[in-house]
Amino acid sequence: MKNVLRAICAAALAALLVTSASVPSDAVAAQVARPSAFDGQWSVVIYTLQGDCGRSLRYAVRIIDGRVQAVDQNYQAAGNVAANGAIRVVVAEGGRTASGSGRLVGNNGSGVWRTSTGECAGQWTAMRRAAEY
Amino acid sequence: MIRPTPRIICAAAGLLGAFCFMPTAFPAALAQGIGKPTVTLAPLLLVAENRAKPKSGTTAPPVASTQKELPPRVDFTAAEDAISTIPGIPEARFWGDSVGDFKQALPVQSGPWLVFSSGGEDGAFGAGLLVGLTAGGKRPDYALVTGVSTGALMAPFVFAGPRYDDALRKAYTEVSAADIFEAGGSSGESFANSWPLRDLIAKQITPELLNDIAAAHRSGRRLFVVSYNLDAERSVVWNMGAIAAHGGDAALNLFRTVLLASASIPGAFPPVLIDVEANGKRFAEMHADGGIGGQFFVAPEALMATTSDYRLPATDLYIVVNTGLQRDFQVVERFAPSILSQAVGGAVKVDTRMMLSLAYAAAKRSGASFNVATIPASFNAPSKGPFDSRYMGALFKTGYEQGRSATPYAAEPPPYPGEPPSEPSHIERTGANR
Repeated sequence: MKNVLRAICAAALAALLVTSASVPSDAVAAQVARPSAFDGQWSVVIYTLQGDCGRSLRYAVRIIDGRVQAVDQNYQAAGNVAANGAIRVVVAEGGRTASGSGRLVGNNGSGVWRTSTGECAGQWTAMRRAAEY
Repeated sequence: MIRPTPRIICAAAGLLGAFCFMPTAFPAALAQGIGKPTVTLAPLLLVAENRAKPKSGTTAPPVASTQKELPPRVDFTAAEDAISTIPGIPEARFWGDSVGDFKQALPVQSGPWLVFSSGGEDGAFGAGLLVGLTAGGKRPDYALVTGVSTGALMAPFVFAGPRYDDALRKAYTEVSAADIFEAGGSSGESFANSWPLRDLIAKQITPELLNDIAAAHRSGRRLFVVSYNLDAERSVVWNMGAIAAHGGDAALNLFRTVLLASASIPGAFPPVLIDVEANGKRFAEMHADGGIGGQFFVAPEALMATTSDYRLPATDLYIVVNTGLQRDFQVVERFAPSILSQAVGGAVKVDTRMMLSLAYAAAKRSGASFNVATIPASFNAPSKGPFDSRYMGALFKTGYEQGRSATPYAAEPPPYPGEPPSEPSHIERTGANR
């Protein structure tokens, strides 16, 4: 079970990664903030189609001025969404990487993801929705 | 009478929830090679280890705080809460410890009672059992159906009759974690958001279903669901048939809200605020998972006590336990989430077993047959994360086969486990024993 749930962490991480662009922090800081057509709160669902990972998980992320952010301060996410909604992601940390790609269109999005080791891969979908508290 | 205190159990569950959905674990896990252990224990709870410190040189910039501030609550007193009612539907509920209200709300006629316990995704067992009972031609019209937490979510379908069996099956075999919760974006009240479950309930609880429940209520049968009033530290029993019989959008919304509240594990999911009024003053009570007040509900504790001479007006008592009761050996890590989750898992089992003993005694002194269905110890399907549809499907099938068998129930509570196995088990843990 621990191995299984360990993989869930990998999948969950990938959920964050596929909505993040591989932009170094200094580059992010240098960018001029501009409103994006994709700004807002998004709910991302990842589906594992290959590997011993959790079958599906849902995560909240926020896009502000075209930059992807975590919704709270408990985790970090970074990246950009292109004007045409295209997302290609390569994120590295601690010598490990994961990648994802896809596209946001209007209030929806979809794509694929894969851990760098190839242990898990699958698809993701996203929808924009109002934050609620 | 000594009982494990549900408050302790659920306080621990709440703490677990904090770790369950703490997203910090994910970048930390990546930094450590996505290899730190995680475990699922109490139903719905995913515990993720969070010991690794972020390494230097990470690419993510600091995240600006975007968390919205929750609106303040209207203040009210214990006296006001004690007499509070649902505006327009005063018959909607009663305190779970109110003997008089309980007796008044009981079915018009004696008959079989069906009781569903908490259990999260393991509710697939109870759902399968009932569908199996239908297939085996052994399912009566229950005079009373009660449900707590996941038991509350299945109870309306069961109460409304076998024509909702397919909806019941779908509810427990065609959902995934993404249909139940969203990690991140916590409001400060919990570490996950339950809007997916809220939306799922809204889809499942249709006006047609409510009409059928209302008709059953008018025929004298009763459907009770339990939530826990955190403000008052008291269980609340919701007379769901009376709510359905009231009709209208307000009743439909309240019905759905109560189900969400009954399944809202504190810490993991946000509590549910329910609007009430007392002496013309309107305020909102904070409700959470009904399991806080006990893993299942038969009658107020005063009536279930071994010292009570109360006779349940039931011909038969059927209890469906939606959680594994077997011991779950593991060498516990010296890490708070692991320690708490193992403790909660054990405490829930003890609580359930002791409640079963009380129910057994109550049935015997009432002249009612005692029947209990539990997840068989042999069930060992692997669970790949919370609300794994394949795991739930396997558990549904197990319940179905048991329901269709000649002996779906045991006539006594399951025996207390004896000596642990002599050899440590290295078998992959199953969800049913979490």
